[in-house]
Amino acid sequence: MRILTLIRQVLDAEETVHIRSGEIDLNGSKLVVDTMDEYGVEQALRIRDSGVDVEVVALAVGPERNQEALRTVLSMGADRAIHVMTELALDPIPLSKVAAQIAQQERIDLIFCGGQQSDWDSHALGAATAERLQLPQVTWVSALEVHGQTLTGRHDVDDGSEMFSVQLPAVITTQQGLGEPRYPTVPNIIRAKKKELRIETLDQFHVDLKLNVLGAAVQAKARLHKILDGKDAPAAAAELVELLRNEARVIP
Amino acid sequence: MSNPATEKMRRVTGGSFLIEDLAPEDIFTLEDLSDVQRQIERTTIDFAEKQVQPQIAAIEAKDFSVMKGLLRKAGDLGLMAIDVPQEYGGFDMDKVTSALIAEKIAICGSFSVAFSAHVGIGTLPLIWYGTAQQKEKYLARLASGEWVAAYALSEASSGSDAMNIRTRATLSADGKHYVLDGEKMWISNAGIANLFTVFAKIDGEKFAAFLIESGTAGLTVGPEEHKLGIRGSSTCPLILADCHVPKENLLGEAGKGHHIAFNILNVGRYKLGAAAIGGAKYSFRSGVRYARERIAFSKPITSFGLVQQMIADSAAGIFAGESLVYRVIGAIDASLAERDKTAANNTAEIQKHIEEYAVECSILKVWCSEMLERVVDQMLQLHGGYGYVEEYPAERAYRDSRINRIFEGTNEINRLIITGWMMKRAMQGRLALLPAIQRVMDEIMAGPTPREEREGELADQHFLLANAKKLSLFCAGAASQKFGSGLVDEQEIMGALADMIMEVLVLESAILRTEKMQGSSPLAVLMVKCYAARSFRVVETAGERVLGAVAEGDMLRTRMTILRRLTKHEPENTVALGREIATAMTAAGRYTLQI
Amino acid sequence: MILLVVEHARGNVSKSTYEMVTCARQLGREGPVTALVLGSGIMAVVNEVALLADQVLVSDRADLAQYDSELWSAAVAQVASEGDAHTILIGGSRSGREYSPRVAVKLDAPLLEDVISVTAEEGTLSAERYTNLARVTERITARAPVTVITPKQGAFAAAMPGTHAAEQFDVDLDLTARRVQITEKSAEKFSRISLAEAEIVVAGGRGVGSAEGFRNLVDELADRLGAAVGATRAVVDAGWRPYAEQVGQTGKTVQPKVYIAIGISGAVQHLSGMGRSKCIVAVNRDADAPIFKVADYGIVGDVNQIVPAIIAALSR
Repeated sequence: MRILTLIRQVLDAEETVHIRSGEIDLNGSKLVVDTMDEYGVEQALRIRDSGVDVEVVALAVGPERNQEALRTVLSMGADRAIHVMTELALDPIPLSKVAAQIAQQERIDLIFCGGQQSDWDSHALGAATAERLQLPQVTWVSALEVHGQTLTGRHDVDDGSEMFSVQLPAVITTQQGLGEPRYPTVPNIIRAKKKELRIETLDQFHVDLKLNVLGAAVQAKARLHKILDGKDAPAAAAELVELLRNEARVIP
Repeated sequence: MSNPATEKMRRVTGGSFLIEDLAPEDIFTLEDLSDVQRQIERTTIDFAEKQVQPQIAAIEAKDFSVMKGLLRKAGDLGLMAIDVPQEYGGFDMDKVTSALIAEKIAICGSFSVAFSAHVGIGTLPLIWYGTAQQKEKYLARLASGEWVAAYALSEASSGSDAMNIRTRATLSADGKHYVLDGEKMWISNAGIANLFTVFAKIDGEKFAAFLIESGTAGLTVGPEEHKLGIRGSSTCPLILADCHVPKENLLGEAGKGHHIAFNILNVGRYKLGAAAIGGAKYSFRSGVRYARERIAFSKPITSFGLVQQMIADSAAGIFAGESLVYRVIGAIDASLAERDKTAANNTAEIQKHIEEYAVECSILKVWCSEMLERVVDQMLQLHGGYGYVEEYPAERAYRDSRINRIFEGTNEINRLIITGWMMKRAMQGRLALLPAIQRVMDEIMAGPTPREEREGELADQHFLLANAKKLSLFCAGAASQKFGSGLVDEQEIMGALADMIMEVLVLESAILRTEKMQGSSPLAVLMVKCYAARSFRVVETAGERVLGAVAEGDMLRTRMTILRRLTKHEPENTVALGREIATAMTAAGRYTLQI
Repeated sequence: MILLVVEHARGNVSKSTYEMVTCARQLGREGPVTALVLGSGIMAVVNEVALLADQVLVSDRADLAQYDSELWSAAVAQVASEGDAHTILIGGSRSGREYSPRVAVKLDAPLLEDVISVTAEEGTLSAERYTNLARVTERITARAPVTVITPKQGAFAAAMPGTHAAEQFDVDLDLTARRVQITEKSAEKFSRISLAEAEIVVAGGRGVGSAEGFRNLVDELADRLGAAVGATRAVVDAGWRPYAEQVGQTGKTVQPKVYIAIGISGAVQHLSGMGRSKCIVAVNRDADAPIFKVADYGIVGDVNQIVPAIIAALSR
């Protein structure tokens, strides 16, 4: 079996978002593999660890610095990586076109993708890729098992969760509940140095952009910051209740 | 495995920074890290931030099960096996990598000390001096974190004077055991260790080290010390009473135990330097993040000049420290890359190469621990009253930093080592210090020379550096002229000379690194200018101290004229520089090189 | 036409449908606002929707009894093509956001996902959406013959139903068999008010200490205020509370009148799920906790003392 994990390099959640001239500027900020994508890598590795004959291939589409993210994934244990290099900012719909073509070329049986991309706050990449490949998809998967050509597991839906069963090939998007992603250990980092990281150019994929990003802004809501000292608990509590009732008027 | 960048670098002689000038490409910098090094750094950061940080309260409450669990996890990640040979489950990697780990693990002082005591003084003696059987038995368990190691040298009445230990070892009547009696103090990890490296004198004479497993009859771990800082780390006395240690657990040769004790110190010192950089960065981050949220007079306090000044001063210190630490450890790696790896006694070779940089190792220890102290102090200060209470991490960082000036040789002892080592090398003819002093004297006596014209953004800083070197040599010459070999007993002067020597190395490292970055970080340029101003003031003050003590009357006046000539320069606008640095750091919410 | 795919559950039209109607009307693009109802046994839904839309298309068939992303996307794409829809509105629910990308790909259309506002001007659609864990607002535009939009839940006001029932048409769909089999469903159980719609939310984090602490502090206070209960990921991971109560990046997004955070430190992932609440109140022992940076009101202190004191103060 061959598994493709879609990897996106995003701003570390702990980092401040910098906006310069209306654009998000990642220069100098700590970038990481999207945690939701790491779940997919981890799941792929667990399938391989369970004894199934699996090759795990990681794909990233983006600027050169994405190779750092791919190196991380190789260090986690992926077998090889493909980097489609471009400075263009692709939204999930055109990006899925690249992912789908790579999946076809590589004859992929199973694709993992993060349930939500933490930079776009988007759910679209996995579904769009599945559509282009005419594959079934299961999103927000929190538990997964492979039995031959059948995938079973649990996934979150609008108002609860469902147990599902689907035949390979398929696209799975991840949700918390899957195994915690492993850290790249020192021996795996050393081993990863010898693994293949293939670089492709974007032009062969013929993507066209349909969205235009005009600008970005950080709009934090102004907060009152009335923080009381709780050393005297009854007094602080009474003051808080008074404020919520009569100043903010948000509780009865 | 090492970084190709260091393999290409030319090897420099220890201490030569005072008498030779290097080019930017001759030094190693953080920007030269290999992919593998960056990945290991990232793993360490993730481990520190996601595993250690959430457990700090439990660690500080001395919940040793948490501490041991975290050490085990670090072992699982391979972070404890960097210096361990491959045949014992290790990776035998470069020293820059182990320094990066020491830096990034320093998110919590207590954990950092436990970790470094284990991988450094705990494990290294075994790697360097252990027999094949000893390594076979213990090393894999230490490298994986399954076992914790401790190192027991100090005693109640022998700290800096380590040769003075009173613990005795005698061979048992049947010749199968050494029997140890004595008491050790300040033993890091004592309460959690499975294996102790204990120093004793055989028959009260031959200095020797022994590997003792916990649980050995006659070995008792005393009560935990109540410490000012690093409270979550275990520090206890160790009581040895009729403790029978199998003869085969003698580590190294009887009578040569002091080699173990002293050679280990250099590694401990450079790693302490790296850990101090890490501690300073973590402290800086929480301080800046607090300050930019803290409102006073309806503005974030980061908009006030005196707060910005503290932020900028701390940042410039961290920048200089990073430049220093990785330059020196990179040089050690470059030197190690040249060694004959097939030599029968590979570890002796390693020690020889590290010993070459003993003076640099001491500088890292002293300078970085003092830089850290300055940073944690300023970060506490910008918290105002909140810095003084336990609710914020500033208070803990402030307490935790203090030990760094004490252990691995007090900063006073290390200052004496710095100047003393240089003198010794000069006397042995291994370092051309005397001719260099002579050249400076000749140049000065020839009268004022026009300032050497130099191109580039850092021309002024190069001028300061060149004059700092000259002034250091001039003062060293003046002091030895007065005291000759008796200078070693003039500790205050030795200390002042050490201050000058240290600043030369730090300033040169920061300038060369910035030049090697070739303009990719405008912020580095601002920081090196800021640091150079402060550094040069330290050199000038120390110089005055030396000259004032070695001459009087006309002689003093003549020398002070020379000092004034060497120190004359127009000051940088450090106010404007500081504001710009602080603004960038505040926006980033941490120490950064990118505006 | 503007095609609007009706979201409904258990025989009722969902709030998100009312919000989509507002979004469609505000757009002011040409053509009727056409509601599409997919499902089985959905007459009540159709009648309710008829008071909201200009016309209603219905496909009521057994194989649509249960949602499926492939069936839904095929149905919507087919109806949109046949009806020459230029704008397709799909709900911002998990399922809506799951099949809308498939619709966009089928129609070769741009996808304006999870938008908080959208306007049309001379064939160009401009929208705003949150990105980077809801910390950033991005402005995007699209200009295409067909565009797919998913409005963010709660971002648009609910439309008022009219009095005139729109005309209904049955549509014939050419659908294939579903490929994902659902073997078991477990619906979320809320002991009280649903999180997404509550005006007051009381939420607990690891700072409450234990499952028992959560019950004694968070549940008690929520009961006293008639509030919904929320939890952080750490609390859910620890098994103290069910996933249904999780607020944040991988849980629910809420925007109540007041959000009361008990023992919550305020990780970015949590803030992304509640940071747009109108008023935020925090109780935490760690004065440095990020939650205080977004709080309107707060108390620094031991939750075990402060929360019972708040409950006592509420009774006075």
